[in-house]
This record gives sequence, structure tokens and C-alpha cells, in this order.
Amino acid sequence: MKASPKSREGQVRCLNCFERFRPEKKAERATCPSCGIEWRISYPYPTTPKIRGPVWDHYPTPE
Amino acid sequence: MALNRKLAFIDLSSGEIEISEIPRELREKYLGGRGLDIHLLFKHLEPGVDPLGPENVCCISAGILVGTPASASARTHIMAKSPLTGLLGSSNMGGFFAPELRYAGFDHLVIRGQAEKPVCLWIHNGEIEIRDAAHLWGLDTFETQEAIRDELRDPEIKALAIGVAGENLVRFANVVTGHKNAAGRTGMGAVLGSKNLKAIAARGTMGIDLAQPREALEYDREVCNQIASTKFGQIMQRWGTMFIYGVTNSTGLVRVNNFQSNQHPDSEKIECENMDEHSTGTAGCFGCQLHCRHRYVIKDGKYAGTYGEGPEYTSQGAWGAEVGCRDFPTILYGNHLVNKLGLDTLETGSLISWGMELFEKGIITKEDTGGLDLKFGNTDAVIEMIRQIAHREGFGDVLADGPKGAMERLPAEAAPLCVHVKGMSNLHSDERPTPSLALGIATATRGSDHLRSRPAIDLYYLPEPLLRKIYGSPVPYDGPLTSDYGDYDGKAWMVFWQEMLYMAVDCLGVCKFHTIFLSPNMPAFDEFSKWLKLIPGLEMSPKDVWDVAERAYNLERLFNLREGATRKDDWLVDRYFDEPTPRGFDVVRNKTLDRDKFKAMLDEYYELHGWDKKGRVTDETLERLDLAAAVGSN
Repeated sequence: MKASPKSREGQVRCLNCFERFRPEKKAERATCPSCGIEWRISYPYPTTPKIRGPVWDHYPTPE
Repeated sequence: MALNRKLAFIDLSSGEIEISEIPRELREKYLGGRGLDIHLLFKHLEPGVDPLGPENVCCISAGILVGTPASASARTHIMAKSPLTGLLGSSNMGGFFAPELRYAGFDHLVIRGQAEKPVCLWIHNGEIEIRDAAHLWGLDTFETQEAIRDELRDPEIKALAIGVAGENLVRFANVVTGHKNAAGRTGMGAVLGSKNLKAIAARGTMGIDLAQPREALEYDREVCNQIASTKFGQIMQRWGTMFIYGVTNSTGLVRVNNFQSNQHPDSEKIECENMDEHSTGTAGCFGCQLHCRHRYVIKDGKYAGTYGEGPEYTSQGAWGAEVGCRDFPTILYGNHLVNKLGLDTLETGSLISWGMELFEKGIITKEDTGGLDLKFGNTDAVIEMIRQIAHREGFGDVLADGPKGAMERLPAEAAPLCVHVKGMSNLHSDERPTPSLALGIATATRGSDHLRSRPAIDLYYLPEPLLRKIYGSPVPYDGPLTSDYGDYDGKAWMVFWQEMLYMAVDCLGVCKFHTIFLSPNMPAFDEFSKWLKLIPGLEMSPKDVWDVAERAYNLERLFNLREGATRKDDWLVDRYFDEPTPRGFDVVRNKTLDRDKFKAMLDEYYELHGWDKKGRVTDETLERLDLAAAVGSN
């Protein structure tokens, strides 16, 4: 079984387009460069970011 | 050795206890836990009996690897005819009870009859006593366990107990061990309550000899490292299943206000990150390195002093999104309350949210609720409803009968709004955009269920080669498999494969978080085969383990067919097909399930199982799985 590759440390995976990207260190928000969705970021471990949820004000709204 | 634990038949009407060996042949056919339980239940239960009558049979067991170095080998399984659905009742929990049961010399208990007065079972080093428990009746699940330890003067006793909900025969009453581990689904607490069985306590010092102890320990270290190295393992260690909530709500895959929406934007206050304010640390079950539940104390506010463990994703849904509450302490308090009173958190939350939708639509009024303002977001009303359900008071008494019973007591317009399968409420997730998950809950043998068939990794857009590697072993599969979770192709196979995996795990007594459930990088059939060789000394290939699972799964199916289930029970309520999802990303928004495609997927699923178009197990399948003799003519 594989551990997560080192190159993926500090990255998150966009929940919309599933592309990986690396938020700025300690950033509380980050925008996916691939699809443009803006995310709130939290840190389960000091240097490990996690997507907490979208910035709801910028979330695609129902038509 | 690991195979010398006993089977006990306990008749609470007569007080007779018969202890026997478990034949090796049965082990090879069913292993233990859920697999052997369905064999015992199928054999010893007369069809058509009242689930709350003395004729019902309740099987309680430990899996074949429980209490050994196998990772998270902690699970207790409980099985009986369900008072909630009238079909298979089956539920599973972690903690420390099952290992202690094994150390006390037993793997399987088959409990029949009904005690005249409240009793409990005391199991210790090869002996079983039926003890008076009149003084325990009325205590909550936490108090009961403490009282037993005090009375028997041993703080190391592990007990499982029912709360007042089980005593009051609430049809979704659960069985609890510790502060959080609950055999929650299908009303097993009500079955124990109907038998006047308040609790079972176990304590033992009988060691379990391993077939290859050194190799088993080395292999366990390898598997532990494997599990801990996954991203899933790391996030579970931090926040447990609460982390799932943020992910699924972000996408639009949660249920809100009883299926009226699939996402809520005011989520910050109930996301897992709020746990840090209340947590006093994390805890785990026997043999688990993940420690996925928090211990918590609410320090101030109206719930000050509340303590507990968890909560799981399910409680976030039950006491958050579904009932319109948006404060974390209410989730913690609701979780604490249902565990103390002995209620299934999922079923209780779902039924209250159903009641709230009925109230807001004017189908029921304050006259029905005893003056309670049952609006979404009224946290006090939610807490009061939990109490009323457990005590069968007021409107709570109606909901305490579960979906089927409550529908009979409510106006006809109420029924179409109840979100259930086979009479058991659905998880607080929305499966309209995900055909594989929808098929899983429609067909699960114990009613709507996410823990018996869910291909959760279908949500991860995994590349097809990886899907082929996972889903192509130990049984070759060259049919379609797609990374798109909105697709219908190949999903029947994924559900079938997950059913076999989860059944195997439940036979072993290992936690599902330690297999391919929420991470693709977890142990599966290959690892199970190796564990069985090193621990109990059973030489079984990965395919042999699959065959055990398939045999046991078919027996569960046969149990339901014998109790009157038909193809129509493997279906979802109309809301899945008629009401589009209103929110979420493009991939999930404005989605319904397609009836024709779903029907075709169900046909494919039956065919994979070797069942006919009506969902009946064919004679060929009975022969192939060596079940013909066990069940007679189908």
C-alpha cells in the first residue's frame, strides 16, 4: 500500500473538477486554478490543508 | 486456538442454556459474525413470527478475527427478525464488547424466548448466568453499564445495554456499548426489550491462540502502516466521519429538510472544524489505530455538562441538516441523548424531519403534535421529540412505530413524503445524482442502507484502470466500469462487489473503515485471506472468502423472501424519480433517477447475483453456493 506521494503534500483536490492544486501556506481561502471555484481551507494538521467548504457567496446558484 | 470459541443457545422462557462447539465445516462455510448469524437465524427462526414476540430469535456474535491482532477487530453483530421492517434485522457495532465476549469463551449467542421479569446475562470464562435485572429497568444505557460494573465489582466488564427506548419497544431502538458504539439499525434494541433482556455483560481471561503469532503480528504492523498512510486514515484520525459532511454538502449530496434540498449554504457552524471547541481528545475501538471518534464535553450554554463520543456524519445529518438546526452543540446533544435513551440516531432524525415536513405542509398540525411547533430549525422541538419517541409519548408514540407503522397512523398524504426503503429510513445523503449509491440502498438486505453495499469510492472519479484493479478481483470482471458517478453502466457490478466485501468484513468482525469503503487504498479480499491463514489458521483463497460472503448474502436474501419480500421492495420512493435536486454543482443539480435505467440496472444486479427477474434465488445459484440443503426447495 502506498503512502500519499511527497509531491502531493500541501495540495488539496478540488471537489468540483477534481484537479489537485496547492493553496498558499496557511491561506484560509483558495481558488481552484482549473475551474475557478473558491474554497474555504482548514488545516487538520499544521501543514496539511483540507477543503472545508465553498465560499458560499461565490457558489454557483440554481438557475 | 481462535476457532475454539463456543456457541450458546439461551432460552429466556425456560432459563435453559445449551453450550456447543462450532463445527469447523460451519466456519469454512460462514466464518463467523454476520455470516454465521444468518445461518443460525435462518435455521432457528420460524417464518412469519412476531418480531416482538418470544418466538423471535436474536443472534449476537463476534467475528472470527475479533480480539486478535487483526486491525480494528472489534465488531459485535446482532441479528434477528426486525420489528422495524418485518424483514432481516441486522446491526453491527464497535467498542470492546465483542473481544471480551471471545475472551469469555464465546463467539455466538442465540437467544430465544422471553423472560418473565427483566434479566441480564453475565458471561465469564466459559459460563453464562441469567441474572435478575429488575433494578436496572428504567436506567439509560450509560447508567446500566456502570451499574453492572459496580454490582459485579469489576471495572473491566464490558456490557451492551438497551435504554428506555428498547424497554418501550420503539421499533428502531438500538443496543449500546460504551458511550457511543451502537448497533443502531433495524430495531435490535426493541427485540431485546421484548425479551426483557436489559443487558449482556462479559468478562474473560481466556486467551486466543493464534495459528502463526509472530507472522500475524508482523503482518498486522504492515497493514496498520498501510491504513495509517492513507489520506483517508489521516483525516479520520483527526475528525472521524464528520469530515465527510463538508465534502458532500459542498457538492450537493446531503439531504436537507427531509429531502427538500440536497445542500445548505449555512454550513460553517456544523462542519467538523467546530469539534475542536468541544473535544477532550480522541478514542478508538479495540485494536484500532485510527481513533476516529472524539470525546467531548459541552462547557457552556443550555447543554452545558453534556458529554459523549462521536458524533458521526450520520448525527450531523440527523441533528443538523435534516431538521434545520445549524448549531454544533445541538448536534452533540442530540447524539448524546439518542445514545443514552437507546435510539437509532439515523432513524430518529429522519422520522422527526419527516414529521417537520408534514407539519410545515399542514398535513399534521399542533393538534397532532400536542401543541409542539414542529418547524424546521426549532431545536427545542427536536430535542423534545427525541424524548417523546423514547418514552412513546404524544406524537413521539406515532413516530416510534417507524415509517411503516407511522404511515398507518397518519393521513394518506404523509406516506409519499417518507423517505425509506423496506420500512427503514434513508441516510442523510442524497442519491438522486448517483445511481450506484441509489441501487445500493434500494437493494440492501436490511432496508435502506449505506453500510452494506455502498460503492462510496464511485464518488472519487477514480481512473478506470484503478477501478478495474479493485473491482476485478478476486472474481474477474470485464464488463463496463466508468469513473462518472452519474452513469448507470457497470454500477450494478460495483454494488455487487461491495456487498461481498462488506459481508466478508462483517464475518471477520473488522471495521469497515479498514477496508475499501471510503478509501481505495485499504485492505480487501487478499488481506482477508492472509489474516485467516495467520490467525485462525484457515487456508482460504481470496475467492474462497468471496464465496463465503456470497453464500451468506444469498441466505439473507432468502430470509427476506421467506418473510414475504418481493422485487417491489428493492425500489425507491417516487421522490427519487420525480423531484429534481435543486442545488449543487452541475454534476448533481437538477437530477432525478431515470426509472427505466434504474429498472435495467436492477435487472442486471439480479442477474449478477444469479437471481431471476423477480429477485428470487435460482436453483442453480443454490447449488453453486452449496445452499440447497440448507434451505430446501426455494
